[in-house]
Amino acid sequence: MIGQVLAILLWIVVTILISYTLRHYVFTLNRVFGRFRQPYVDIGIADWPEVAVFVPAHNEERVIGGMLDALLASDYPTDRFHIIPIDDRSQDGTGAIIDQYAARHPDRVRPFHRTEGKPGKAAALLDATSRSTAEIFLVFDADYLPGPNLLRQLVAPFFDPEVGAVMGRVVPHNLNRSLLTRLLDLERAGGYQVDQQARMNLRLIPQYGGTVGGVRRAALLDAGDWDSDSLAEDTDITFRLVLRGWEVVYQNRSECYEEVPENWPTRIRQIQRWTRGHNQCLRRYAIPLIRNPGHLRWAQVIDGILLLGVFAVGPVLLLGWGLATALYFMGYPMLQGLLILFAVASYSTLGNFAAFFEVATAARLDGSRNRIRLLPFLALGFLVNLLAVSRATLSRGSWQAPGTDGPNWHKTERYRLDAPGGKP
Amino acid sequence: MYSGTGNDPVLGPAFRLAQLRLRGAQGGIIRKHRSMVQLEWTPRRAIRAAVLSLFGFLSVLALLPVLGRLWGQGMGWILPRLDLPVELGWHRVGIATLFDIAVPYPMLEGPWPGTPHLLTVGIGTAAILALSFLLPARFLPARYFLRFVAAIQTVSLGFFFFATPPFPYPLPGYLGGLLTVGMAVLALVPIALGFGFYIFDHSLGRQVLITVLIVGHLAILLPLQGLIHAWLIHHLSLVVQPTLFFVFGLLVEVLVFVALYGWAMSWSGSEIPAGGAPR
Repeated sequence: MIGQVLAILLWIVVTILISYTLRHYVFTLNRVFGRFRQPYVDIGIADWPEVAVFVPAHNEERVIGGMLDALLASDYPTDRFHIIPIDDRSQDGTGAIIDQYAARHPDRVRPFHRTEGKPGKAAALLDATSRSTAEIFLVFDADYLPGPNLLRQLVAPFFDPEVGAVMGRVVPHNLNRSLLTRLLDLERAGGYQVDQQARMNLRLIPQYGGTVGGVRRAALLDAGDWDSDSLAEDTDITFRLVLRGWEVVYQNRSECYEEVPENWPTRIRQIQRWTRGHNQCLRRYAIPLIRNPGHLRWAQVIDGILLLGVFAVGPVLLLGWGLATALYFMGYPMLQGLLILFAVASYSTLGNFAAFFEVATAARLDGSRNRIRLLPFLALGFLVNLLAVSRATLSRGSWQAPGTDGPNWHKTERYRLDAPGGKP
Repeated sequence: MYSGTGNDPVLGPAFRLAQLRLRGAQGGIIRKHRSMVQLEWTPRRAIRAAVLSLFGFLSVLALLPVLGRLWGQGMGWILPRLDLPVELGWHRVGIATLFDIAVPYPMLEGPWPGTPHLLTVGIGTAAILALSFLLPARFLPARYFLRFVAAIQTVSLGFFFFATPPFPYPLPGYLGGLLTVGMAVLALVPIALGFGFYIFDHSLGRQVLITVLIVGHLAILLPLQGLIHAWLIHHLSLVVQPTLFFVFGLLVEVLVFVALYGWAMSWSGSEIPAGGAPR
């Protein structure tokens, strides 16, 4: 009896893992051969709308200067955009650096110093955007290095009145620092070059990632503005926009460089933060998605659920291993077949071929081939992710009601320069 | 500069016409940005991938009886040199009426763990766990892996400490199962490459080459892996069998496959430019 119950549970786990495996294959094959959708990238000449570029920063003296220099070099019409660096109670030289830029470019850099209110990126954005009347809000993290034409590319989709948010591609620039940075480069390639673009191609739900992207002010207000209690304001606003009927667009051509973590502890903190935020969104939006407000196709609903559940798969996989181990020692009948099937399916998260196929395809499409030879080492990254994500998922912070664990600035360590300013 | 000519004899005139659209003013190729690079799904590409997969699958299947005999000869030569002078058992697998494959395995008994086995493996497990804490932080994945191994081994130690014979998976059956599943994996390699590799822009020669390399590598690895498992279980008892099954079983084959696959995916092709767009 116990064996049967465990076997049924194992089959459920296997089914979940197989669905993610199939998703990898569908997305990868679609990215390589499917109908490519990048409808807005050719817009070069237009009556560009007014844009506010927000750069939330908390103790970012190492990188904020480089970011502001890059934005100031943008080819977006200078009378149509301004930069709002948000200094959220930094204790280092971030505020002073921002003020220096504001003094040199008073018409384009309008600093916003936060000294009170809730800490955290979502709260900072809520305060800062409420002070702007620009039509489009773009958001960049302080360690990013946007190219001169990136703002135009990110704004172009907003000429489509149905578009509520836009996301560009994130590309690590410090990839040659360690094995970890190279593995993260491969992961990012798979996530953007394949996953996000396939969602765009298939008209599913591309995810607004909170940086290298933006939202339409009207859409943001329609969806209820930033939620200052959210641990992942990007995923949160993605699903609220989608549920309200707005389109989220991904632009693979709109690339921006970022710093990825160079050591494992930083990486673990980063992915655990994402996990808690993502799981919070799973708890909030899974049921509304399944109820379907009417305008969503079922493919979008299924993709949305899988997207929301992506960080909950870790503990599911661990549960599967536990069940398989228990059944193995119990000598449960038909164990052999089940276990083999499970071993194959579990690799969808821990590193089965589908995930490797996706990453290898992304790297090959990128054209930088030598790095594909690192493919088997991704198993190491998957193992760390699995345990870090599982731990975060099983923590109280993943599932408690919003606001009970006040969001905070969870800083990702920066590496660019030792000297303040952070010019690359 | 992308040096592809577009004269792919397999992909045909449609492909050549598509390539003309990318011809620059001075005859060079206008490269697509990496964000837009794709491959064209043509009937020829689909047929080539399907035919190669099917041909590879059937070829491996046809070779499996021979491979089984070779494995048997190899094991017969190695086993005495491992101080394991045992007979070979043969696990017969029939596929319809077309194939009759005999998979060899050592008829070796895995002892039920006694106190010395439990102590030895327990100390080894503790050493692995201790090592995981001594490794520097930059080896974090290795730390996690060692703890994962230690966790499974600890469960196994606990089971055998309390359990009584017989164990549901005696060693000969375990080895026979491992090698039989290994043969199935060999036959599935061309199928996996069918949608994971043959659909890309590599030459036919390279597609065949990687198939031979992967199948050949695994064909040699599998019996050696089985013999290592047999030797370890024979000396350390059944208490290590669960760890070998869960951690050092088929996962090893999958990682070997992925490593060689990753290498092959780094080879140049005729359509996707090497170097990509500027990074």
